[in-house]
Amino acid sequence: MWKKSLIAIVTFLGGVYFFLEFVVPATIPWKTTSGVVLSKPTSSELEIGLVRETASIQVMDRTTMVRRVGSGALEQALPDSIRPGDLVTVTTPAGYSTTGIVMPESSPRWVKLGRVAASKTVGIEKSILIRRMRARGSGEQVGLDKLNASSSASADWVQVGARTYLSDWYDNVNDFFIVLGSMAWGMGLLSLWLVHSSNIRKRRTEWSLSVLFFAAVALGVVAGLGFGLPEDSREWTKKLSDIVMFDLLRPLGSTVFSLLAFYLASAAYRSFKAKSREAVLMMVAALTVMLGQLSLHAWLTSASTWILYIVTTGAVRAMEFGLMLSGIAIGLRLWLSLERGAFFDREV
Amino acid sequence: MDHANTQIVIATFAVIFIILYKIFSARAGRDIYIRRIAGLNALDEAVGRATEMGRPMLFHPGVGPITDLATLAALGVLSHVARLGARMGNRLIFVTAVPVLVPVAEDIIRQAYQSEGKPELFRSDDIRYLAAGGDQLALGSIDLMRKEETASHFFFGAYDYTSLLLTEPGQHTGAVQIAGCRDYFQVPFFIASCDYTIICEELYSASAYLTREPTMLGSLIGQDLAKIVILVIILLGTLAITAGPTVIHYFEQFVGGPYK
Repeated sequence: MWKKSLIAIVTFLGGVYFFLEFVVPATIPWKTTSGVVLSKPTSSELEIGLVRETASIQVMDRTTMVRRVGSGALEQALPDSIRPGDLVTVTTPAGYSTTGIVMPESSPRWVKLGRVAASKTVGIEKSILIRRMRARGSGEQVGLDKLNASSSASADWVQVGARTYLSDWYDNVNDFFIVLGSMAWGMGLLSLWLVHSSNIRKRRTEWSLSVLFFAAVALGVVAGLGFGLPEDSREWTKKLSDIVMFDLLRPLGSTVFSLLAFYLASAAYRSFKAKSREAVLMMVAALTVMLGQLSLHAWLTSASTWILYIVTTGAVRAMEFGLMLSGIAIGLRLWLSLERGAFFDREV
Repeated sequence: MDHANTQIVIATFAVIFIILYKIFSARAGRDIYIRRIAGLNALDEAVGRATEMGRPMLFHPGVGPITDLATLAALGVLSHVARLGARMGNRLIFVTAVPVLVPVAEDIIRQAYQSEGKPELFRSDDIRYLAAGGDQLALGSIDLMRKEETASHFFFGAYDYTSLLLTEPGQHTGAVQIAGCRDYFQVPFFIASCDYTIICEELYSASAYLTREPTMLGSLIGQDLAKIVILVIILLGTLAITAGPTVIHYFEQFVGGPYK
């Protein structure tokens, strides 16, 4: 019973940590300053420009965007590549141009521009966390030396504030998995040793292959000594490692992979037998897609593209939604030890 | 380390609330109906067939690590198959390329045989770590199918390009094959070479379906309700994009634009 309780407690605590790490922001919201980096930071201070919105522009097909980079040069920017903090000039199809700093509320469809209305100097202490906004997703933690600063060109948009400390333990918690994984490798090798030594001891069929297995393990261990040595190394272990990796394992892997071609042919032959309505539908769709790749006729290519990118995309997205929700449900069941049948079953 | 934005926090809590609410209402004794999943119903048939033929069964938990939800779901199915095998007095061979699964699977299978009162049928050398890589595991599994003449094969978990390498030899030997795969790119290969295939999220629901516990069934209904909520948001998004750029802009701000 103690084993079940221990697993349940460790699972719950681990789950609590990862859940909180995800939902709790990296910095305390009311102690966080958000804006562009105006000047090169010192080790104790960071000057941040507080940006006020000046324009909100809809991005259409013929809208152009030009980004001013650090050297003063101008470069073309695509709507989905602009980052908060970029200094851009947006020109609408009607010819109106607006220049400003891209704000985090922007999207590829609608750009919000602003200008620096005030500046604020933030003291850098040990408890302060600096996060740089990316083009997509949440910010990334960066050091002071990695920040791009400018008051007249594109710069980094940062969020600077007192850290909530949860993210600091992320690597340590993940190291726990690495330690467990390393122990598991030993268990895997033990399992192999038990099976093959038993084969040899009991002289089972093909026991000579088990002897070969131990010889291969010994060879792998010796060859492993040369793994990772510089390319021009003249060590014999390096040569042995290259022989095992490139002259033995790689061709063997390619051989296995090539088996797939034959298996694909036999599986496709079976699938294309029109046994049911669904099979007929699958066969017609597959033939359309295959023939569409040959550019025989424009409508065939269109039909093929439609099946590949419209019908399939819809189905795939539906599956992804289902997987995501099922993932949350199964995660919740494991986290709260409600899952039966695997780890939390009755102990005998 | 990505952190959730406000919308994701709200959505996460909403989904958790819906699932927990349904779990607790199911525990309170509400009747729950879930549709039949042919592949999971066929597990009994596959175990029975192997037993009748006097040949062992093979369970393959995919190539994903133990932290993968698909692997965890596969272990739930393993427990059920091991119990059925123990009840009918048959052997179950478990193969993996993930070393940490060896002791976990051993524990699950041993418990299954013990709980069915047949601990003497459990053989620890039937839980085999075959290789560290997917292709070597596939080759090892094919060799095992040939040597042990396995009559029923179960493939549940996360799979890569080796899916067809694993299942096609079984098709040629005439074994009953049931697969449940999370990776939708591999699903067509399983459909082509297995007798029954459990598609994507059905794998995650397998434990609930097999155990029929109110808690598990409640979570299934909860995730279906959450799907309806997402469907409504998709419909609203469709209407917003039809209504014009201003509306879709505000809608994007509402559900969380890409920069948030």
